[in-house]
Order: sequence, then C-alpha cells, then structure tokens
Amino acid sequence: MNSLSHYTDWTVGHVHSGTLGWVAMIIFGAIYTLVPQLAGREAMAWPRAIEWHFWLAVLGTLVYVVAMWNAGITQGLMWRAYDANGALSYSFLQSVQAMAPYYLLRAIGGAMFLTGAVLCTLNCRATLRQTRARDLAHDRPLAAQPAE
Amino acid sequence: MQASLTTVERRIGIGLAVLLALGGLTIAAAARHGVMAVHGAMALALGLGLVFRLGGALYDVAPAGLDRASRYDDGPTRFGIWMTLTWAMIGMVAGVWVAALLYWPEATPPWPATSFGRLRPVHTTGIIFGFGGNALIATSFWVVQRTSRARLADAVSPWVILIGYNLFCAWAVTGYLMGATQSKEYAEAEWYADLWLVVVWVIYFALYLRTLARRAEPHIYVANWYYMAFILVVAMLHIVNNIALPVSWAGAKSYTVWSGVQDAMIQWWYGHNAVAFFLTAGFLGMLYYFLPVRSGRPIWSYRLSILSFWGIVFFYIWVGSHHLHYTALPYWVQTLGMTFSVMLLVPSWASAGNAIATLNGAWAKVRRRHAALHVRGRRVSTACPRSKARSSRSAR
Repeated sequence: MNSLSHYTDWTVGHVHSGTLGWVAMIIFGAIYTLVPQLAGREAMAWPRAIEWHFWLAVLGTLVYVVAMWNAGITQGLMWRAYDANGALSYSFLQSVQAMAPYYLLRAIGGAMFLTGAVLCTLNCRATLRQTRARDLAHDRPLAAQPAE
Repeated sequence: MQASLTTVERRIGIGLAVLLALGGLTIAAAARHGVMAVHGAMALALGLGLVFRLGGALYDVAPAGLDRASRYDDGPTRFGIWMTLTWAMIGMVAGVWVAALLYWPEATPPWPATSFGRLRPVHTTGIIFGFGGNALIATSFWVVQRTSRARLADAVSPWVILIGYNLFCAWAVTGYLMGATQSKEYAEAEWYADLWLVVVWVIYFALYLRTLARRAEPHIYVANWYYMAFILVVAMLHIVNNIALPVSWAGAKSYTVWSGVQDAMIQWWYGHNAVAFFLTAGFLGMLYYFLPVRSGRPIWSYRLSILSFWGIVFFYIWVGSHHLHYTALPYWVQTLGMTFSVMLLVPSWASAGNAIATLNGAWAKVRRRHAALHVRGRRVSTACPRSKARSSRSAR
C-alpha cells in the first residue's frame, strides 16, 4: 500500500491532517484559554467568533485532507497503470493535469482555515486591548523567590 | 517588556542589545552585500530598537522585588502569543498562496522572490517554527510556572529566548525570499542562523531546568517531561543535521559535512523527528496541561501518560528512514524505520485514548464550550473582586 501512496500528494494530506487537525487546533485551544487570563477577563471579547473559527477550521481541514487523499490515490493509480503491451497508460503530465480539481479544493480548504485564523487573531487583539489588572490569589507561586 | 524588569535588568538588557547591534554591524560589514549583509542589518536594527526601548524606560518605576517575585512572569507568554498569531498569518497566507499557485501556475509574478520554490519554505518555516515554535515557548513558560508553583528563574532570559528565536525565524524566512537555502527540508536556514538558534536554545533549556529546580511542587508534572524532551531532542537534531562548512565567514553559502546516503538519512532522521519532538512531544505537553485544566478533570491515567512518553521518545527516534523508501538507503534500514513506524501506533493511540478518556464525563462541556468558560470564569471572579483598574497593557 505504501508503494501506492509514496511520493504522492497522499503524504501532503497526511502531514496537513496532523498540522491542521492536531497542532494548529491545540494551539488555538491553548490561545483561547490563555488570552482571556492574560487580559484579566472571563472570556474572549467575541465568543461567537470562536464558534465560527472552530467550524471553519474543521471544515477547512476536512476539505484539504480529503482533496489530498483523493489526489494521492489518483496519482498512485495513474503512475502504475499499464496497457496490454506493458507500456504506461498515462504520461506524467496527464497525472499532473488530473490534479487540477484537487488542487483547487486544497486552496479552498486552506483559505477556510486561514479565515478562521484571521478571526482568532482579531478576537485576541480585541480581547487583549481591554486588559484589566489581574490579581488571583490561587494563581501565584507558593513561595516568593527573588530572580537569580 | 521593560515594565517587568528592574533597573539593573534593564541595564543588562541594554548591554545585550548593544552586543546584538554590534554583532549585526560586524556581520553586515564583513559580508558587505548579499543575504548575510541584509541579515546583519536586521540584527543591527533590532538591537538599536531594543536599546532605545529599554533606554527610554531605564528610569521608569521599577517593580518591587518581593511583589514581583510573588507573581508569575506572564509578559513573555503574552508576547509569545502575539508572535504566534503574527507567524500564523505569515505562514498561512504563504500556504494558501502557494496552494493557489499550484492551481494557477501561470499567475506566478515575474520576481524570483515570489516563485513557488522560495515561498514554499516560507510556509513551512513560518508555520512550524514561527507559529508552532512561538506557541510552544509561550505555553511552556506558562505551564512550567503553574505546574511548579514557581516564577521563571530570571526575568531577562525569557525575553532573550523569544526575541532571539523570532530573529532566527525572520532570518530564515527572509533568506529564502532572497534565495539562500541549505536545501535541507525544514532546515533550510543558513549556517549563521543555525548557530544563533543553538545559542537561543541552550538559554531556553537552561531557563527551563533552573525554573524546575526552584519548583515548590515535589513532583515534576508530565507536561514538563514532554516540553523537556522537545527542547533537548530538537537541540540534538538541529546541531547534527546542520553541521556545515561555510564557503567563507562572510557569506551565507555553506556545504553540509554529510554526504550521499548518510546525508539523506541524517536529514530525515532530523526531518521526521522535527515532526516527532517539535510537533508531537511539545504539543503533548500542551495537551497534558490544557486538557485537564479546561475540562476540570484529572488525566484519566497518569501512569499511561508516562508510559506513552517513553514509548514515543523511544520509538519515534527510529522512524526517519520511512521517508527514504525505494531509495539507495540499505533495505534493512528502510525496514527498521517501517517497523518502528507501525509500533508507534501504540503510544500515539494511547495518548489520544488517554485524552478522550479524560474528557469522558465532561462531554457536556465540550458540546457547550461556554459552560467550560463559565466554570473558569466563576473561579476567576470569586478570586478577583472586580478590580476595574486597567493596567496599561501590563507587562509589555
């Protein structure tokens, strides 16, 4: 199976399922936890923008990853298709041309993810601009130690 | 930045900024033209900017020592989150742009800097190092203080780490646009940027250890294990993969000391473990702090989280060769990498299962995320008697 997917866009889809779906998601989760606390507030300035960001990120990731999985399998199958005489059925260029719809979908999925990230950035800006003094008795070091 | 520093620390900061400016001037003067001269000028400008910023605030009221020591140092985290979001914008715009170029290759503008080959590493470096790296550093400062119940060991080095790290990212990305590259995927930055990152990384590791050493908790919480594995192994990978001989001390071009299939193997030992220890171990550290905090529940199995830690650390380091299937790499090395990749399913699914089991019983909070916000909010508001005093964008 690896010989089908190796060197294809399957790998690109695989990497982005990890980076968009795991790394970026957990970063945004941490940001939505930290930013209100850094601003001394109870919540982000625009709670509904978080919902929009979440669904844009989920849908963007799905569109991206599904497009790349299909692109990878298509490439793998086209590269190893032979005709009755044992010659390759497709030229490499044909396999590149077949990628057009997947590459368009990939750009759309990525743009959706980017839109969500822009919302997050503006939301963080709006939240941090209204920073209040924060003094939490439980959120302190146990013992005051001078800086070294 | 300057608001959380004492007068002595501001003086130290000015001294370091002057050193940075002089270093930048030396690099620019030695190189005279080309990529390295631009990078020297960038360091010079940053150093001068910091001198003016700190110098202008040198005699402002300094924080009282005991009061400062009884709080966590969150200014660097705040700055790090800003840089995370800045790099998210740069890296993601570059990503969408190159994705569009693949669909409309004829839309490539006629300038070399906007060609696919130069923008693609801007996307990968901007996201992995700019977005991911700043998020890791910013959250690690937050997490190590909370889980150790201790303030960061000193006030200057967090800023040195974050500013220095972002200078590395800016050097890398601007270098690609000007055509400078080591041609090693995810390690394209040239030799002097790599050396600079080593300095920053050693300061980072030292600060992390010094902060853990002054912890008030008896136990080192598992998130810190993951963060430390991330810092330590990334240092090891970065140094070994980037050993290179510069053509001249005054130019960006260098050649790696590794050659042939060994070069390929070391590159993918680095490349895959950048995924393993940068994008997985570090972020698992983030997960093991923020998931229990947000769901209000302890980790389902703490023992499993430690078992997964050793599983991931031990298995992951072997799998790089699966990037070199069907190449001149000896077959047994390919098989070894493939086998360890399959075995890696166990600790990675164990981590994911542990996370999901932690959420079990808290799914209502996931469905109604506002509820989770309110749980935290209540704790916050009882502890904080509605202080309306607005700090002047504290700690920046």
